[in-house]
Amino acid sequence: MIDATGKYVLPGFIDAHSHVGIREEIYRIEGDDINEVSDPVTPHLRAVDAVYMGDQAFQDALRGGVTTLMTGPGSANVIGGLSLAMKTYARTVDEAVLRNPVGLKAALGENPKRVYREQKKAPMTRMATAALLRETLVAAQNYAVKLAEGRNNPSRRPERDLKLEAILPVLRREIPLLIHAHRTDDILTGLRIAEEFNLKVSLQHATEAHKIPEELAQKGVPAVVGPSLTTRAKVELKDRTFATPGILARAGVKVALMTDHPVTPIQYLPLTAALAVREGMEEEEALKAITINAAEILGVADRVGSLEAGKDADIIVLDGPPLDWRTKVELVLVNGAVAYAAGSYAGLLNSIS
Amino acid sequence: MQKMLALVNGKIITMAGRFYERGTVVVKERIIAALGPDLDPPPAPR
Repeated sequence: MIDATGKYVLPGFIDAHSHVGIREEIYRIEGDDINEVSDPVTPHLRAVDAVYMGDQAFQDALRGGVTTLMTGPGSANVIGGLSLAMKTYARTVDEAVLRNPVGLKAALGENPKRVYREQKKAPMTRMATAALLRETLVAAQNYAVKLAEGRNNPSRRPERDLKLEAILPVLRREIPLLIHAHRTDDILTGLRIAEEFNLKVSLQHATEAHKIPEELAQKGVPAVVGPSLTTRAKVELKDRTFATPGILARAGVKVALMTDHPVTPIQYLPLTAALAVREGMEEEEALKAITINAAEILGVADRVGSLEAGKDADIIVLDGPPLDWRTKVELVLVNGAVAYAAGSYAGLLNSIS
Repeated sequence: MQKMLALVNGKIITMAGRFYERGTVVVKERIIAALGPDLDPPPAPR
């Protein structure tokens, strides 16, 4: 029995977009597996093949109360690869995986054209980025047709194509296209392409989404907003504001928050929620954005995101209100095991496991 | 024997529409077995 008198007990927080285990904070090439910049179309890359459980960010996550995260490839490529949802406490990535894949990463805007312009190849413009995305989706549609024909006639079965195979679950709407977009024009380009191909999408970053909240609400597109606790490192971040999540939530958009770790250190996820509240988001909505909304957007709400009988015992105990900057995480359970303990619970770390 | 633990007397924010000012969460193995304001914690192992 653990006495939680006076403490706050919540479901573990969920960071809906990070690069934990793939892009380590203190290393350069040794800990950097985030962007395969040899080819702008790499849907067949799988985050699960790159996650290093020794990344210190997993400890930082627990210290911040984050028990589940999404991690995946970066945004250098038009199609970057498959992302996954995982717990932050496990011996191996295979043990940690909660859902794999949770989506296929696609990137619009500055990053792909900056990276490939330096290599003097496409995409050098936003138009080419969109065209490459469309071309690849059409190729995958054609591949699906050939696979169907090959089921009845093995002589017509196409050779296995790992790139196109990775896109099929997106075409079947089994997983969303995770559209990296900051500016409104990039957001709308992503939604236009998604409609052309009848895709499920989840908007990532959504920096200027506060300018078009009705469009997102009307289309039922969820937004994973952030990272907002950063400098304006790129022109497309010019209009970044902590008001975005609140504006979207009030318009009826399902909102989650991200740290994009290591862009914002993952332990500050609850602080980003607090800053969103300061800029007008309802406190309950901000908490949802780092718990149940994040779980629903990642497709793992049957396991995590709220405290309900039958769900995974991912539980955090705090010494104060969850969005107060003074509050410390004192105890973290992941799958019912003590993953982190501090303060009055420090002695529990080795006594329960 | 199944591993059980209980967090007792906490201010529980469930994120499922309920708040308990003084509540208990019972964990059995890896899963939340029960939670609420009037739960008896599981008996101590003998």
